[in-house]
Amino acid sequence: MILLLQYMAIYTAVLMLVALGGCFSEHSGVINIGLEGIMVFGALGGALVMRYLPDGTSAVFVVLTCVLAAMAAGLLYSLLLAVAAVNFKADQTLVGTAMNLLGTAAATVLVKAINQAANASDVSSTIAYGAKRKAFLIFSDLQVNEESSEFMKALKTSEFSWLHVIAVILLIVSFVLLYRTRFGLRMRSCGEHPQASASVGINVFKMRYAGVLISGALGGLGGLTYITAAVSEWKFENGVAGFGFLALAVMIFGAWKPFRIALAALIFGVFRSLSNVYKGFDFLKNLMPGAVYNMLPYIISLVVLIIFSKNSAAPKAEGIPYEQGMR
Amino acid sequence: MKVGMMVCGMLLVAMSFFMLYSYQPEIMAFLVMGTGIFMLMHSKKERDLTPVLKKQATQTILASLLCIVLGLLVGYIVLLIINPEGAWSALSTIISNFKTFSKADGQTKNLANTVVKTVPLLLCGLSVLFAYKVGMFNIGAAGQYVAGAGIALFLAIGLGVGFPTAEQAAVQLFGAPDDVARVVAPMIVEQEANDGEGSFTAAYNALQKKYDAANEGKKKKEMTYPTARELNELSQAVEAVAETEYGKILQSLDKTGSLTPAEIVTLYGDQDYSRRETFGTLFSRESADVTVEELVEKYGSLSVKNSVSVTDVLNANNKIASGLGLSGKLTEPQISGGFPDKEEKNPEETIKWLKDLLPIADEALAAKEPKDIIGVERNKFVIAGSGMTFAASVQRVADLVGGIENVTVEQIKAIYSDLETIETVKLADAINEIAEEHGGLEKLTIGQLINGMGIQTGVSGGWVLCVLGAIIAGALLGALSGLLKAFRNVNEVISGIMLNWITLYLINMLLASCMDQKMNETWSLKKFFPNALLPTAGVDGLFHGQSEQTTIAIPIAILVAVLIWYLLTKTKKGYELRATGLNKDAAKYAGMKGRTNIITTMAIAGALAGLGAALFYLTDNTKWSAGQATVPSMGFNGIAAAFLGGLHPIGAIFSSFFIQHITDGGSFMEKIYPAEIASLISSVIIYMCAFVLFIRQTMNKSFSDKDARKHAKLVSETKGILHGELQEDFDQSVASAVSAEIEKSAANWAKKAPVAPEPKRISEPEAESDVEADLLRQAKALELEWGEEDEEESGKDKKKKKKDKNRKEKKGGSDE
Repeated sequence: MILLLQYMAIYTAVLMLVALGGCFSEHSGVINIGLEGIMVFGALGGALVMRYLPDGTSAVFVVLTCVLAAMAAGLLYSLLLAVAAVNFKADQTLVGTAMNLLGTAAATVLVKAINQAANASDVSSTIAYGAKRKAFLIFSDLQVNEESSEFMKALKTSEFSWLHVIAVILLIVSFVLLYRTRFGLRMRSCGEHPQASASVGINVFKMRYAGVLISGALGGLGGLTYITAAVSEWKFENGVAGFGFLALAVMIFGAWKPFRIALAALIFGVFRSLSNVYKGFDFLKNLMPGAVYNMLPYIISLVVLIIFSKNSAAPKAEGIPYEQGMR
Repeated sequence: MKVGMMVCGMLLVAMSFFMLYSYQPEIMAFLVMGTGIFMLMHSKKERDLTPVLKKQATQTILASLLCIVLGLLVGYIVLLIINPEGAWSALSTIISNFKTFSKADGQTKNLANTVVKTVPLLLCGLSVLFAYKVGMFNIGAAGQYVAGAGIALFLAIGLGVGFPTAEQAAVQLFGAPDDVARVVAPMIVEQEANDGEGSFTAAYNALQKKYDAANEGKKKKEMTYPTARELNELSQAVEAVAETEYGKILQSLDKTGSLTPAEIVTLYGDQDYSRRETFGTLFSRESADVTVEELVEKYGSLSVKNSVSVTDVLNANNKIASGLGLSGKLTEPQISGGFPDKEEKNPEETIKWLKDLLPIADEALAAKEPKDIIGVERNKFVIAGSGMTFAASVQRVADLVGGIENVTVEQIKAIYSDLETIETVKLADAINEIAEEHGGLEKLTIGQLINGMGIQTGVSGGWVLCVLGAIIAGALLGALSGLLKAFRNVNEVISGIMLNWITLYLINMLLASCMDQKMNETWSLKKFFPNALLPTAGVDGLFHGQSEQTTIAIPIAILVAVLIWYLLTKTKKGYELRATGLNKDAAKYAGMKGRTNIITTMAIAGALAGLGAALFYLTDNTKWSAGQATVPSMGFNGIAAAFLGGLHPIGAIFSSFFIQHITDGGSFMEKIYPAEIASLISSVIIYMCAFVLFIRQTMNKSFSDKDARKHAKLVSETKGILHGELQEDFDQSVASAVSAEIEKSAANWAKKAPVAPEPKRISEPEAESDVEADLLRQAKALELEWGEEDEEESGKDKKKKKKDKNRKEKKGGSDE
């Protein structure tokens, strides 16, 4: 049971963070398909920091620095999209696709080079961060002995991480930012009708930059959450195994609204984690063949989309490069 | 322009020298040099190239080239950072790819390899391109690719379309008499090796040595093999024939001549072949009151194989156990944990073991006869000994139970009912049996014979079916995305992503039965499923026969690219599709059916991706690995190929070749540099491609600025000329209008002024000169006019006349 909840927390947190990032970007008018590349780079930033931190640093410090590093890495990488889309009016879907390809390739090259520089025979693309990962786990230093209940024992080895808590906090912050502040209102207006916003005096370029950079930060954090989940090293050749695209789907699924995105991520997380843990439950094992569990999250999402997409409304001006003075 | 061209020209010439120096294909180097010289020459002549540069095609090509150069530059910088020494050679390796091999053969082979891999990339690129032209981003191309690959491989392997046909199988199986050795002997030898040395092995080895000596130094086609007669003599020594799966037979064979069934019977009448049956089916033929001795006598020579899992055995045990009243079932951990080793245990020990396993067995055990229990669990020992004949295994049970008279048939039946065993039958008998079913030996066809023997056969030219299947699968998947978009407004990006993953898992499930367990990938098509391979049809001649994977896939792919170009640009449907892409609403109002177009487009895009997958996997270049966890990246690289080619089908051919070229080149780099540099370079190139619009806009802006300036100059010049000529007319007309006004007001004033006594006009004043006469006439006319006006004065007329006057004046004034 704890296992199920733990996987649920992981998948929901990752998808939610990255989808929120994409949501910010799209609300400001820039289609961000490059979420996967941003995730990889954020993960890379966090992993590198984790690896090079000395062993004895306090948990709080580890968490803080890694989170900041991941966000910074994601932010810097999303600059690629920002500059291309806002200043050079490039085709945003193409830039996003290029960023995806570039992210995995660049991360692999970087990690391999670093590994080789450290040890000439090491040509793997893995970064091992070992024990420092424990800093993230909430319950790792729970006091447990033989008499404690199964629940406590399971909790001690569980993978609930502070990053999940941060994800929830960021969800609330995003909602407040987008829907309850002036900044959020202005950003949303840039995505709906940038010319109208410009006529009121809002600097559309700045707003779009803000949107893309925020999406970079959130995506980077999501990447870090993904790779620290339940593993103590990560092979960067794999990128993030298609999770960025899933987050994109969750964002569309959640109709570009933070709480609906959270709900969509939760649904997805539940079914995806079921496919990880169904072997442990007898009645689930006999219910359907294993491969169907793998497909279940996607099938359910597709069904929900079929039912609810009729009135789906993307921000109206997304994808259209903004030119000053255009009607 | 002139300076720019000169600089460009010099740069290109310099680059061409570099290329010649570092193993580049000479043709490319000379092309570059030629372009450079051309530019230099023209810069001197000051010919204006702007009309050429304004064309969209040139701009796109130039922009793509710029992107490529920038991408290579970034890659070079990265290489420098990693290890400065070998950076330039690494970069040139990437660019030159197959040219790094010194021998022409090696070069052609690697070129062939690159071309083979370009085909799926090109078709996926076409798929993305086609959808993009109609306004949709086909990110589901990856899933459609997977679907195509899966269906093609499933048809080939799973449904056996790729198996040799019955005729081919007969030929392979029985072949020319000299080839029997390659069919039967190796299997027998293998079995013997498993069971221990037999006389057959020794005899065969001697025979083999004899023929090896004879075959030394000969080519494959000229070799000789043991004759059927020699083998017959050998086979006398065989006691049991190995299990044979006819798939395995076919695997190791080449094609040879063909035989009629009668000839087969005559030649091989004494050969044994095996057919698998379970004991259950065997026993079902026995009558109820058969004794153990009769069973042993009949089946004594059959060998028992332990091809059953422990769980199955114990499930059978459990049936008997429950029959004995021992409730409780052994669980999996108990089985794996407590499985005894093969040593014989005495009955007491065995009971104790059982006791430990089955907690509630005590009472039950105490109440039962030891021999029954032993009979129940002893069979584990019996079965654990592989390759024992039935008689021997029964004997073993008998030994443990205290004599064969204690073994019951029911025990044997119950124990062995789900075990498989091998029945040896004479080939002649088997053929006769099959012939009886089909109406006699004369009427028996090879196909019926093969099928009767249980050999699975395929379809000649089965690759057509596989390719068609792949196309349909891809099209259906694409149409599904299209349907969802057309009718339910589901964003095609998200439905594409979802369908990607769903398709991946479905295909993994589907292909689970087609996997070679040892290698963890699908069976090799070349070895086992030759009818599914695409024919080479002379295309490999282009590559000097270096690679048998160069098939008709290559011309097909190029043809499809041309077809797509034709469809999009020269047909009515293509026009409709492009119009829908440019402005959906306008197209709708013009009467084009939006929904149908969307579904058709996505179906075609899906079909293209599926075709690409089929054309790749059916060349046996790569196999589908079991448990593929992520969607293959070919679908996403197709996006790159489409955009680098400027979204033009013909451009996609070149761009996909280029991308594959540098990717393969990356794998030949020295190991200090990770091979992913190549994909880094290609992704930077794609990134730069997004700026193409910007580059073209700046180019066009600079052109249009120049044009605007020219145009303005022209207009002002024209205006000036006209202005000058018309100035006089203008002055004159103004002057005449002004003078007319003056005269009129003078006349008015004259009227209104106090009336002087009318001057006596005795007569009309005589004009002293013409001018005076004119003036007088004018004055008279004015008087008359004035008078007329006075009489007819009415508001409207007055106004109208005034209006007319004003208009006339204005007209006169604005005449230029």
